[in-house]
Amino acid sequence: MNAPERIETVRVPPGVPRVRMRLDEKMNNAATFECMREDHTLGHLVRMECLRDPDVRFCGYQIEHPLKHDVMIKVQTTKRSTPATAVEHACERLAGEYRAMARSFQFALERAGEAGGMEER
Amino acid sequence: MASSSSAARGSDSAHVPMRAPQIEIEEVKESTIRFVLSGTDMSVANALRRTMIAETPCLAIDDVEIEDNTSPLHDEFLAHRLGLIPLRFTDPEADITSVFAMDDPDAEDVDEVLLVLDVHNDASPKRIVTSRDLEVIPLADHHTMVEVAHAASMEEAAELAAIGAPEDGAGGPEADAESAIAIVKLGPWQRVRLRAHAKLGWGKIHARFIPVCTAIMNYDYEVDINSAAMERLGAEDRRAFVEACEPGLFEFVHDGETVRVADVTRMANHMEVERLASTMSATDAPLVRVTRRPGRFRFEVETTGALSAVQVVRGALGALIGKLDSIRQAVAAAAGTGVGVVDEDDDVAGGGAAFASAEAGGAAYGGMGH
Repeated sequence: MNAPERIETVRVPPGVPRVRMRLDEKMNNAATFECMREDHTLGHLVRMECLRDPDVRFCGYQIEHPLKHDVMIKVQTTKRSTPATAVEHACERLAGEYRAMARSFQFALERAGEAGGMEER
Repeated sequence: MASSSSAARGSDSAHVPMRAPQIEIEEVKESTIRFVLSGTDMSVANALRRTMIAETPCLAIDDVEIEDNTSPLHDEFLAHRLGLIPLRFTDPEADITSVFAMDDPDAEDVDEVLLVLDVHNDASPKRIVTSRDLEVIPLADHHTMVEVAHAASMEEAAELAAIGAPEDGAGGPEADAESAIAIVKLGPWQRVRLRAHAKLGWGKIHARFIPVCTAIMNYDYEVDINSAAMERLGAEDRRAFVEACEPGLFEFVHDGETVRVADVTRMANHMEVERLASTMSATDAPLVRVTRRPGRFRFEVETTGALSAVQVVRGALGALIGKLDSIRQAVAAAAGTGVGVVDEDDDVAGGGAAFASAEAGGAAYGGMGH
């Protein structure tokens, strides 16, 4: 059968970096990040977070083809930053945000447990 | 966008304010949870929802070795049904990814849980093979944390058992099939004998690795009733409006005439409610006004039984944090060498050189972002 392997949707092929950066040849401070085996979950998340950064002039993401499981994130920044810095900081802030969410969830669980009626397996 | 207004500022992200998301749990049970996520962006909330579905790891039968199958279903059909049976990870505190290794065909030693099933129907007219016939054979200590889930929760199991039990409480094959997951029905002298291997996987790989049957995210709506417009309607029309909207969304107070909001969470289609509110109104003003509370998202999660609802939310948050951390490192590594070859020795500082050369040969800023 010629169906593509299911595991290919999540597994980064051996020897291939998780993220490849390609600098834009026609623009300053612009680059495309090819994130292997990622989808809209990461693309949209990073795009929206990058756009909160005043040093980011453009950020967009694209999935090139429905049979390709990679996402391209294109970023252009002002001179004060670089695309890589902007994406790194966006990921850092987002990870921090999810950590805060996890703490809040734990706290809410404890309160729900105190209120009674909560059974956790 | 002005580019030189604050040139003195560093290029760190300290000037982008961090959001402080909050989770308020409304109801939590073994297999269901309802909570409100507030103080964040839609993209963050939606990533959580998508991750709960597609990237929260759970166990499922992946490989089946059929030793004997004279049942009416062919081997592939049986294997497919077995794959969809939830396998419960019973430790509420442990992280499943730290206990089981991720499914990787390149790995030399794949961590698999062995399950066996051997049912031979000795001449009885019908034998229903269910998930109760499937047995975990622990080959390692952590395999004892896995059990076959016959229902999503203890609560559901009790309900199903009550439905299946006949009045006299005698049980029987039909009752068993009702309180567990039916796999195949065997006629006289038919037999199924197989060995199944369960692995850890993600929903992205196959639906059998999806730990949730429902993971819904919705806006947190607010509904205001325009009592003046409602007054202008006859009792008949008012009743028609309440009935046209989602059941349980509106109700009449005890006088039987005044409409009030019963449960906003019942609203599934706000556009339909808004449409009805304007078309059924006797005046120009709509009967109700629907607004979204900004930055608040209502979640409703129901699991298959493979993980508890709490484990799903925790697993999704953990998966997202891990993903973002690894992408950040990979971006730093890619920028460090400029071409995307992962090299641990190069850090972000090296990226400056790559950008400098690009700047020297590059054109002026394009139109993007203006």
